[in-house]
Amino acid sequence: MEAMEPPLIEVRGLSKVFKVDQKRPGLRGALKGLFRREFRDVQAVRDVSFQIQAGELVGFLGPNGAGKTTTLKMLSGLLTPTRGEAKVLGHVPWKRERPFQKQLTMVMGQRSQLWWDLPAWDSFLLNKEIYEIPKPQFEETVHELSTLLEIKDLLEVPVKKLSLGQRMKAELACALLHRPRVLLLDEPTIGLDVVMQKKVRDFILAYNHRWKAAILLTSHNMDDVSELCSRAILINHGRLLFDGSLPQLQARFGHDDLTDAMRRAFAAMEKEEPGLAVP
Amino acid sequence: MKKYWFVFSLYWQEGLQQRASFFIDRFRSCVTLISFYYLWSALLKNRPSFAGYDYSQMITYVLGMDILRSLVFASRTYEIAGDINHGRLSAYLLKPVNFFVYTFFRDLSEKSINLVSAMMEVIGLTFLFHLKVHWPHDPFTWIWFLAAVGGAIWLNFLLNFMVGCWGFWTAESGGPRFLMELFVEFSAGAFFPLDILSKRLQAALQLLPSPYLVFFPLQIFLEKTTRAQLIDGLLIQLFWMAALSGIVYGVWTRGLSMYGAQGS
Amino acid sequence: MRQVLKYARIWARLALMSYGVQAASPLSSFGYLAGKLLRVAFFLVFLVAIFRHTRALAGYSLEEAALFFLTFNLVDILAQLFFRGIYGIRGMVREGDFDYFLIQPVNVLYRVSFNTVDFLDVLTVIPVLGVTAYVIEKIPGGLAGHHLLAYALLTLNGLLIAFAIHIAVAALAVLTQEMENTIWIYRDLMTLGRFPAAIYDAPMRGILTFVIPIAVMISFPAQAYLGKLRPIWMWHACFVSAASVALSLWFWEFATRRYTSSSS
Repeated sequence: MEAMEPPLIEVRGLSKVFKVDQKRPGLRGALKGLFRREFRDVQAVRDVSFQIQAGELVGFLGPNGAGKTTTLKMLSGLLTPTRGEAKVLGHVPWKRERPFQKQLTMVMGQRSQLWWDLPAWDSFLLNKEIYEIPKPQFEETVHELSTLLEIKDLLEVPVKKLSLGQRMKAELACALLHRPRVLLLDEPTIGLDVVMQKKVRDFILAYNHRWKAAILLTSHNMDDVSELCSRAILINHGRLLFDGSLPQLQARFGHDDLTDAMRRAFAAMEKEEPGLAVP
Repeated sequence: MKKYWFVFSLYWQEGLQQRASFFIDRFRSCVTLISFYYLWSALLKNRPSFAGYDYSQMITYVLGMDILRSLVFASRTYEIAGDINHGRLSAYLLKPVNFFVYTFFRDLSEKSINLVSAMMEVIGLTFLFHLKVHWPHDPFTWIWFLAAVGGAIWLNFLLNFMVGCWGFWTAESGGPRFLMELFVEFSAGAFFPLDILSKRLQAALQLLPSPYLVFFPLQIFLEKTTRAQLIDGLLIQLFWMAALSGIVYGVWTRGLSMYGAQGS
Repeated sequence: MRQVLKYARIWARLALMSYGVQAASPLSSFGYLAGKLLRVAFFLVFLVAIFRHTRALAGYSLEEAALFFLTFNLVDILAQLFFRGIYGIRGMVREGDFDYFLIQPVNVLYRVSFNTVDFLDVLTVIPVLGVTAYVIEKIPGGLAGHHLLAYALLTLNGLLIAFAIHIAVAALAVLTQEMENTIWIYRDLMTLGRFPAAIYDAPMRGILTFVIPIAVMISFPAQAYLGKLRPIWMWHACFVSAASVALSLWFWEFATRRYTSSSS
């Protein structure tokens, strides 16, 4: 292992509890809802710890509601944890300090930061001002990214006229204009066709190699994981189940197929088998 | 028929769920009510009448405005343009439901919730400020009044439906709709009685259907119309109802054929 | 200084982009612009009509009453011009844009407020300013320099209070994520300021001066111009704006903190 430098992302004992509003159905429920509300506690993330070095591409895996997005949100500063600590790029994320924000990016699946009615180029220019990117660097980065993503000709087209795949690529470009050192990607290939998924994956790999960024991505898609990630963190019911390389995952759950290995891992969790976490 | 009443109750439920926006709409009515109450009180404080209205009549007009606005203007027809532009219309067309009747019942639901609230506001204000309402002397007035109100509801529904149909021709009907609603509100006498305006302006406005939405019914209620004027007014209302029905029918069929042709 | 330039450039970019979006739907924009101007024109017609039947409204002449109304419009339109983005905050929260704002290295409130700059407001404010100048010139007594200054300063002061109200509303929208139209409560309450505060009775005037400072925002500047405002009230005005800005900023911080501890 190369890195003698401190990890880019350090997480220790991170936990998050939500209070969820109970909505009641029917007319009577609606009337009651006018006056009184009930809440219940949901433990989304439970005592999660891990570290990520620069240049690592880590897959964050788990079923829906496992706590992946919540963890990512805490690392981006969007959410404050109930307990625990984290340090990203030496900063506490939920303090949302400017130097930290300038080196981070988060892409949230279906949500877009591009303006719908305008060409992507306009949204790029906005980010240029927000991240205070100097003009020459901006032009260089746009050139590199749009070449890698094959969207050079699409930048002047209104975003609403682009296909889903083209939009996703433009979205990625926009998110990376400031050359962040930490990328948090939440379901980056969701809704894309197979060809487009591969292209996005290739791009992420290329970015990772080029700028040695730490990339943490969540996905349902096994191909995303097997093709991109050197390391996988499995999480379910908010708890970290496994943290290691892919070969280790397969060795542990003894199968050639990665999907089956994962399924066994989650099944084991359901049965509350001890000693699951780190190999 | 039963299915349309189901629509009615569904939107009642939905209305309660959207409690925030409903209360805010009513809040707006209350504020308008209060500000006009104070305005006319200030103007009529030291004089027996203003433009032919005594204090009681003017206050009754203001209260009547609030009630009629909820009855005549409350509507969800603004959703029509959106339904058209986003292709949701197709879902309605496929169902064994007449879209026109469906929309009308949806509106009825909206109007009745607003009416209940308007009545509470008016009653509340009357007690709070010890207002003297000018009730009709002749019991028959009520019948004419309700007939005119019925006509007004139908008229405005047609107008709104027609505006909603603009969605067939453009995705930008929001702006024009806003303009239209504003103009109608003003020319309907929904802010102030139209007869305080100059004779020329009044004459110009009488050419439009809008004075028959609020001003005319309230004139009946305040018993400020002669027999002849009453009959004339009702006939003109009927004329507009017929004319607009024809226009709406034409616009709707035309628009529908365009909608189908585009496959939205 | 660099920060100021950065924020200026961001504003310029956002304004350009907002214009781009509006230019994409010219029909709608025209409708809204015409509607806004029509609303102002209608009310002026109403005022003129009132003064056909009376010499004074609560002791004010037509031009003086018009000044109150126009001041209302100035504060209202200028507030919209600067804080238009806040009207869309619920959409931003729902669509996830708000999350992006939190992650990016820009002041979130700034980003939200200026996310939309409505050029129609610029087009609306120009004629309103024109009519205001015309009315001011018509008021007997000539243009007293220090009165004019007091008017300008107090209008600016009113704008600051509007600023505070917008921030509070934005904070509320972030907190509850359900209050769709809170900003409309403010807009509706503001309409109470269309008339000179003198038409309201003492308790109401008290509310409008101390509880919901609409009189402070709108009536005070006009009264100051007419030389009818005692200095102590000007101090009160400053106090109200300072206090409300401070309070609302605190509330915003509170709301953001709450959001980041519970968004799911």
